[in-house]
Amino acid sequence: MKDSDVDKDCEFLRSLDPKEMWRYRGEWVAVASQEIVAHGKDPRRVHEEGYKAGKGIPFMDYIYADPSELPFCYGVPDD
Amino acid sequence: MTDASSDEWIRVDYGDLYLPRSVAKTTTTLAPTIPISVRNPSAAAGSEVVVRARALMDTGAYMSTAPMWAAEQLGIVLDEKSKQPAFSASGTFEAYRAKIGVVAAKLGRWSDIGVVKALVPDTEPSRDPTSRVPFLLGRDGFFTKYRACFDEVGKVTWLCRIDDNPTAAAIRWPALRPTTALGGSSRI
Repeated sequence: MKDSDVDKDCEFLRSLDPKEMWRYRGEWVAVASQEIVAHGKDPRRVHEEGYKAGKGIPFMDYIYADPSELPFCYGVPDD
Repeated sequence: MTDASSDEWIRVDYGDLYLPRSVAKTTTTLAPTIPISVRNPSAAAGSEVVVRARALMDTGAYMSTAPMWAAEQLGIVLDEKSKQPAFSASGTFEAYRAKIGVVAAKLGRWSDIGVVKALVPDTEPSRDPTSRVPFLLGRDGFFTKYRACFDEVGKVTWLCRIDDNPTAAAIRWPALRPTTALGGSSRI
């Protein structure tokens, strides 16, 4: 499996258009080679599909759907 | 070992947690997270799967944790006899004791961490909301290797490798030293 630049993959996620990000709320996303190669609610399936995409080791991240999902008392910035 | 062993502090900017509020706006919460790359230390060479995900550096946790979905993907055998109650701020949960190989953490560049003892909470990822909990890097196995200074105002964590550094006791804290680097992951 080739490598994927995790810094670029994180930057890709950070630069996602809000409209695009909204599509993935409440889901896991697998990012490789600056593409979302899989997404869904089951992280096992997302990770497997991310690997099968062949774009590199996928970076797994969760897109929160609601402030109540944020773990460990993380604060939410004021709107 | 790919990381420096000398008196160097590594600047690690907080990572983003994404919370879409509408099709027009995404709120980003910053937290002391880093990308990590995890393997099963018992896997045969060349056949192992890697899980790459976000980990929270958590000085409040003695042990690290790995989510069940990741343990399953890595093929880590979870021994029923290792199951034990564990305690967190959100209550008590059952967890397996396991060893995970945090091959690397992205601290500016990839840095080897080695094998870390971890708790794997006994959760069903597709049903249990705790499956959203990220990897945690706790004191045993991570902060025994890195001296850490959290700058919540600046949203930056400063880390200095100490486990392979015989002069670690003499290392000064980053606030006492002039900052010459701003933005991104870099060194002072």
